[in-house]
Amino acid sequence: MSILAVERVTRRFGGLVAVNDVSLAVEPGMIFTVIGPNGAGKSTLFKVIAGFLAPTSGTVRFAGETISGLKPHIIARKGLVRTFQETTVFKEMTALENVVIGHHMRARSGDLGVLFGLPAARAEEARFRETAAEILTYLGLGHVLHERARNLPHGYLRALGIALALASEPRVLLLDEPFAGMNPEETDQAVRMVRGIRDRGVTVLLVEHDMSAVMRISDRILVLNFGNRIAEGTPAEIQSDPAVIDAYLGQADDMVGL
Amino acid sequence: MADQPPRAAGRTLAGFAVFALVLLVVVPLALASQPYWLTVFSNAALLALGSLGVWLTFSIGRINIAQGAFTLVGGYVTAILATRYGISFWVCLPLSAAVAALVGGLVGWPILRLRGVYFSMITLSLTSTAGLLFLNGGALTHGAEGINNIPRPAVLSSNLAFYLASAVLLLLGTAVIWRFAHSRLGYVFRSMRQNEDLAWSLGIDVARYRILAFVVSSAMGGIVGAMFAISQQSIFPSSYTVNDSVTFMLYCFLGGLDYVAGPVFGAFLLVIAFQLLSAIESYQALLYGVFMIGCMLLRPNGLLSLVLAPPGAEQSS
Repeated sequence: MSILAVERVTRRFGGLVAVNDVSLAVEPGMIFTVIGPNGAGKSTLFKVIAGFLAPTSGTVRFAGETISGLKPHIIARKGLVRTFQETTVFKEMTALENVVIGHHMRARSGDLGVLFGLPAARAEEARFRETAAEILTYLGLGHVLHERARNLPHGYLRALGIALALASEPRVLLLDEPFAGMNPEETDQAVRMVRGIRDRGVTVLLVEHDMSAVMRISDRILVLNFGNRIAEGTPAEIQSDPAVIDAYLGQADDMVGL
Repeated sequence: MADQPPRAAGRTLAGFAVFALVLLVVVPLALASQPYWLTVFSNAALLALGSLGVWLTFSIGRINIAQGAFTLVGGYVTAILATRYGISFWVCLPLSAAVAALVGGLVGWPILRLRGVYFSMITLSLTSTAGLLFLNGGALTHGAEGINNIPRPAVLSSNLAFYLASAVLLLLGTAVIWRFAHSRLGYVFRSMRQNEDLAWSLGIDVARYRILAFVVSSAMGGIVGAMFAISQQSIFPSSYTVNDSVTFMLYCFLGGLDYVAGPVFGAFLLVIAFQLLSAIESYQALLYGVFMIGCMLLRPNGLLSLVLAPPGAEQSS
């Protein structure tokens, strides 16, 4: 059974159809990518899946359960967690504090326990700090645990955003353009990081612009154009699909990764 | 592995002990024979308590100009219960907090969806609305005449006793808010201030926590209202106006929004400064204004930023 299934989802904004009757199915352990030119509806689809927008019609299922229409924090608690475009982290907190927040939804101790510093809550808190430090070290941020996020360089922030999401122990991680604005070397690093996440047993759905990275990393690719699904398949199939080449016509070849 | 290094935690505890010592021992000894100044310090302690609540709503990223409304609610609850039903103040006090908290929860639920200036404007108008409600409360609130002859419990009849009660409440309030700020709940609150969408996406029930912050803030406002009601022994719809709500907020700005001690420091400094300036009465407001503007321009992070490092940066290079 697919862990994440989008079934005939349409999302309209007034007269504009941002996503039109799109379906997709992500199998566990996969890296699944949604690509498309600007304005193709990728971000809208992404927001619908994560619960930040309700679909106009259609449903989103997570592990067989309908999640469309649920609030984002409920969806996150079920194990479907998103990251944001660019470098969205809590800028005024240290790297470690950021990741501790990411743990919050796995907490068992209640608010009162945390407030009064009861032993169980304290122990949990200490455990969170430990695993937060572990995750940060795993992603190469072990040396900046106590640095405020806003003082960190761009590439680190991207990794921190992913560390935040990983801390919540997702079953499916939604990555919003994780390679945007990276140079080839940074992209290589990020590609390894995303593979590493998948190897830890997390299914990955990513929305991306950078074609060469996508072709290297994805198990399966869905192509959107003007809100419509125009192709789906393995990277090799996508690269030779005439409809895809058509949609990207006029763009530089290296954008398409051909 | 502690995020707050043990030394810093120890310093905080020591700071709190010194603060408690000053409030409970030094001030009473120094001012025992000066009832007027004892009253000034009682006022400062209670206003600081109200500001601490406002500070908590600041920590979730909401500029709250409604605290006057909740002091009014707390004051009227105590006034009505004590004068009409003869209920003991020690029952009235927690009930004032509870009713203010309940009102805070009911009002907060819809308005906390608003952010920025929209939230502030609504809270501002709440203070006026509360005044109007009590003005038109009929026999229950006696309109503009207000409620007089609110009994003051015998234990608190002396200025010193009332001051000590206020100081103890302030210490308790400070401890509660400090725990909020420095536990994981504080992280959660600050995360909501910095990016609500990201907080939602990490499974944080933002709606629930912002109501929690507002309810705690309102309860503290209610306690302050109850205390002032027995200290003035009367309450009117105009006892707390928009001005008072703004002042609660200003104490936070002045002391510094990054520190729990900020609103306490701000309240004591301004209340005492205002008394000292009263000698030159006609320029009091002018000097006060110039002082505030100067602070905002020169120390935008609050006066405490002169002596304290921003939190969370203890180990950064």
